[in-house]
Amino acid sequence: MKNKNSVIAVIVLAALLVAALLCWSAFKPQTVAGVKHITVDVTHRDGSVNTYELKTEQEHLYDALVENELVGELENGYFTELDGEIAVTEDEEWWGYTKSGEYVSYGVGECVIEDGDHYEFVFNVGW
Amino acid sequence: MSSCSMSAGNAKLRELILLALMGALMMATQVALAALPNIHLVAVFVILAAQLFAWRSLFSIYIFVLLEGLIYGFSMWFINYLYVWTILDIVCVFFRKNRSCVFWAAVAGIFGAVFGALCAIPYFFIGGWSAAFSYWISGIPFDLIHCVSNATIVLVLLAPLRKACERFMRT
Repeated sequence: MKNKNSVIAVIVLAALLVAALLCWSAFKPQTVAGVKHITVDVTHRDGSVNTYELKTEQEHLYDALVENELVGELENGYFTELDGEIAVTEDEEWWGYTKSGEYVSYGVGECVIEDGDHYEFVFNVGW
Repeated sequence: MSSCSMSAGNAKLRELILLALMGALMMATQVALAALPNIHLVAVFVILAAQLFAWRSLFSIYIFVLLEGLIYGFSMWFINYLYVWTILDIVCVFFRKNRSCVFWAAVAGIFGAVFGALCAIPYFFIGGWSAAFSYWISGIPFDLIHCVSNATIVLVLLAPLRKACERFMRT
């Protein structure tokens, strides 16, 4: 009985892994080659807004920001420095972003950019 | 006080110590391994607590969840943590008599693989199917890491940890 449970569990695990890999390859965002023009709005702590029109061949948002020297390094998938302003994590400060006002479920490192995209970064305080 | 009641009292005290210790170790090991995404010892401790203490293992889990909230702040992930570890605990308590490390490694691996899907549930209420689905898809690579790390850690550590806990309870 116990061996049977183990076999069933291993089979379920294998099936889940295969299903996850298939879903990932079928539905993951497809990168776009070539030149893309994107707009990036950065709202700072004091409410001031800087707007940048970027022309890039990069495929992901973070790489486009790095190319334009707008963003600092990623730590554990998060950045703290953007457009010269640093968010101090210990003070519950953080940068959030949206795409055309909509929530984005990908980090900037995984966010695939397309021509005409509009991103809004906002400085936040408090979790 | 009779020796029987003293013995029962000692057993209760040891159980309390282990429950609290497991909750603290879940948090401490998670923080210590925070630089390695989705690699931690929480699942092995949940399984262990469920095997030893059945439903009382929920004390350890919610000690862990509360400590995590105090350290990292209370935001969306906290809502996930309120139910996701309990789901694993329910499965573990149901199968707690099973002593096979292969079985538990597979269970831990399954949990790691579906972790992202379970955490996507609140996003369904926020942004509908598309928000929940895109959240889940974006996290699949991390789920795969979670699956492999959980299975490996349980396969290696469950038996020795259980032996140590059982020895402590008998002392």
